[in-house]
Amino acid sequence: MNSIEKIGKFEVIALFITIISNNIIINISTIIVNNSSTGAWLNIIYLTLICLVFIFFICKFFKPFINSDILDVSEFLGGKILKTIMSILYVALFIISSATCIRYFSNSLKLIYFNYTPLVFLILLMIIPVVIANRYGLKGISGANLIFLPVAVFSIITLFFTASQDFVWERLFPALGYGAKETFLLQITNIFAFDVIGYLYFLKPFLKKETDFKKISIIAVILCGLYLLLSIISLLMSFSFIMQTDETLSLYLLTRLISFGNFLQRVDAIFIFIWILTILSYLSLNLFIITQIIKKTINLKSTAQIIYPIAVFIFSIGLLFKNIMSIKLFISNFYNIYSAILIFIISFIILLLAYIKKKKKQGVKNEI
Amino acid sequence: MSNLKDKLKELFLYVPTEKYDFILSENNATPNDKDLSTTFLPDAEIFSSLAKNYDYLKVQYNSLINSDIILRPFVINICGKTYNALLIGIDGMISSPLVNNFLLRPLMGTNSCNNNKNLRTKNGIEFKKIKKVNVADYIFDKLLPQNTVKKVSKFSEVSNSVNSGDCALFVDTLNIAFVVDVKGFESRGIDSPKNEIVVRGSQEAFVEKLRTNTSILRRLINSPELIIENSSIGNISETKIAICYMKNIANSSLIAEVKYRLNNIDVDYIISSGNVEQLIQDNSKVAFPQMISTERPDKAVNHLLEGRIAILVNGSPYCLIVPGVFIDFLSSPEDLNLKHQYSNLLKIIRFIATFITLFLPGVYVAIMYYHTELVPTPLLFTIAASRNSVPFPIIFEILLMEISFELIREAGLRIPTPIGPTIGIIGALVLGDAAVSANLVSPVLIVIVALTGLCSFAIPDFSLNFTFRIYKFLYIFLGYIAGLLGIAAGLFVQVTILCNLRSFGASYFAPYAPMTNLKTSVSYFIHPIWKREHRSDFLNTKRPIEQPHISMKWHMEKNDNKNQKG
Repeated sequence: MNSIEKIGKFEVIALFITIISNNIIINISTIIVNNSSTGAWLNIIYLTLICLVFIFFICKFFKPFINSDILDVSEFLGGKILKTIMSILYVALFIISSATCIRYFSNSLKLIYFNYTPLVFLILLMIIPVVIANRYGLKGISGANLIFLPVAVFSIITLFFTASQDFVWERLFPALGYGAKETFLLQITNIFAFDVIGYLYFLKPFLKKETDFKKISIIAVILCGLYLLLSIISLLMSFSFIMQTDETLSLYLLTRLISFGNFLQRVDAIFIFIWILTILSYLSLNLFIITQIIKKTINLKSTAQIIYPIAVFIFSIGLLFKNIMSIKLFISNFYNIYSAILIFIISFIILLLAYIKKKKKQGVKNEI
Repeated sequence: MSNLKDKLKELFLYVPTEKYDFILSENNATPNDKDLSTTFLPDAEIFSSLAKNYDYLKVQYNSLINSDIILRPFVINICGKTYNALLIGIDGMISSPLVNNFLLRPLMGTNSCNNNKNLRTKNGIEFKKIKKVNVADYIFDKLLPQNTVKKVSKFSEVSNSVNSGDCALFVDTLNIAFVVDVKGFESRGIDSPKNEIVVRGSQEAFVEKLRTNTSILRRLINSPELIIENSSIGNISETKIAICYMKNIANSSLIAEVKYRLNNIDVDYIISSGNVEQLIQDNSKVAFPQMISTERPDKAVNHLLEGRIAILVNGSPYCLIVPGVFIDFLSSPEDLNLKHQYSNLLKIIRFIATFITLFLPGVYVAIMYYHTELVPTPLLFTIAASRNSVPFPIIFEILLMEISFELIREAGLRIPTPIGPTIGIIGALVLGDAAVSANLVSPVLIVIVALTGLCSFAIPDFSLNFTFRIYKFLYIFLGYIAGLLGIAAGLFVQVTILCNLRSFGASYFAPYAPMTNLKTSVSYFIHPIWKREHRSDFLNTKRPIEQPHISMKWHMEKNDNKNQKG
């Protein structure tokens, strides 16, 4: 990407943690628990290992492409056509993930706190800060994210420890859930929870030191795995997995269990406040990546002109869903599969072929 | 009798009103004024004819109408030759004894060249041996017993010096003038700081006189590496400023940037460091302060030794320090004088106070409107009971009280000093009590507003305090329209803007965002003095190491001796 904005490894890792936190907040862990029942925690450990191997290959394939993202690699492999196709696919992915996230969270907030407030107003209140943040670029977004991150991480860890008084260890068993085959083979589709890898494809050129890419990728995957494991274990041990199928925000359910003596019995609003900040960071990053992809594909000088139309587009798509259940259905029936195929299959194949092509070219050069 | 007649006339007859009416012309200046303004020639060279110089100065200084301009013509006798001379100065700015004793007396009295020692007798005839002398050099070397004498060749240089309290000497046939430092204007002596009071630190504060301020810095730093460069700002006022930095520590690019900004200000005048601050800050749309302003020389010295740059402005008792990052504005000069445990406790308290100042009223509104479940049930009952008789909505209540509090604060500053604080306290007490008694507001709200006001005084920086007072109202509004969602959205936007903000190249949230190596950087909380080994890395100084790994060498030596004995 042509942008001169570069960020350090701490900022990138913080952004990844935010993406993971956001996934957890908007119920990814519940979807995994629903898919794999009590085997979810083993499934996540298994998927983390698979992703680590995957990341190893990604880093290897990306190595010859200095200062390039997946679009540059696509252009190298298949020219402008492939680049445009990949751009469209990824823009669609990020727009859908932003729209579902914004709608899901706003709708949940409406159900919990703002019964009389119009949904449009709530979505607007989330999209406006995202647009303003994007006007200030990646430095502003990553900086703000870095400031809020310790609080967000602290909130989830606090949640885990304070809810631990209600943990029942026996609920983790049977460890293999629906069976070994389901846990390790059929539920491999849960890999969509590691969609953080999709962001890795785009954030590489923004790194101050490209040599940190491998380190950052591994840390991102491990953190993602740990975070998911923590949330899944908390959920499994707190409630019977059958109970939470229809919950909007499962983590919110956990916060309801927290009380400090007789004085503070409902602190869920504080957690929601922190999570709003996390979600705003996540949405800002998404909008930033979308605008960067479009800027790169159609050779725009600046992203300033496209921030507003894209934001309006996300806002409109968010409004298209009927209710939370329709978002849930959309995520489990379409989005999960789409993101898994795009991130883990299509992009991987493109990277592999581009790597082979690059090696061949280098070989020819060396011969000459 | 005539008075009565006039009164009766006024009562029963028509008398045209004769009202004194003065209206300024809508045009800024009449054509004549414009013509006059162009007669001023700031860059004119000094003439060799004294008469011409005299006329020029008369016009330039409007000596016919200006009462304090002293133009003193006299005659100098050098080696038997007489020269007409002219001295110019401003009454009240020059020291009369200095002028009389060390300027006029040597110049007008007998000098070695024209006394009788030079008389020689040859063949019974007395004659005087006259050496051919360079008049300018002779005056400079022998007739001006002053330590600060400059030769200048332009009228602009003359006026600069004369306006700042020097005298200028013109001599016929010379196309230069001698500028002599005979300043003698009254100024305030060094006093204790008024706004940055500390218990254990120095009790000296900057004053309005630039040279006094630079001398304080020079005395405290005591190193030839301290550079104090002079410059001036203002087409009319030509206010003197001093750019101070440690040559062996401060980043060269930072020094160049400060000089660049200061030398590229095109205004007619500046009257304080606050004007300079607004003219050189990175982003004028952001209310947050972007450079440190202090009246304490010890604080300025500490920052200079850290690698920052200080800007002193003549006529202002405040020193500007650049770059300034967010954590600087939450730090007090006392922090470095105390043990790190005490300082860090105070820093935690200040941090909490910052949050309360900014968010407490907004969060209260948000909780009361949208998140009442956060409040413990017994407390919620108490609040509900206390609000029972209040007819207004919470938002009105809080705005009423916040505005009243701001009013008391502002009025407290304007009321004459002896009764100001008393009126402030009594005003607050009476107003609060009366408001509760009249069922205008609930007692809980008084507590909220009072706590917010109290916490705002714990913020050490005046500008940051002001900024938070403004944003407090924004958060009240956001809390009202969307509860904690609104506050979170506002906070996110604010932090994003601040993360993007820079102060002379340093990120505003340094060293936290972007995160630098916190081990080698000065952070909000301070380490023990022996552990402060590095200068802030966001300053990118020439000497990143402040002190060796082991600064308390006596401790090591004692241990070594013990080991040897053992």
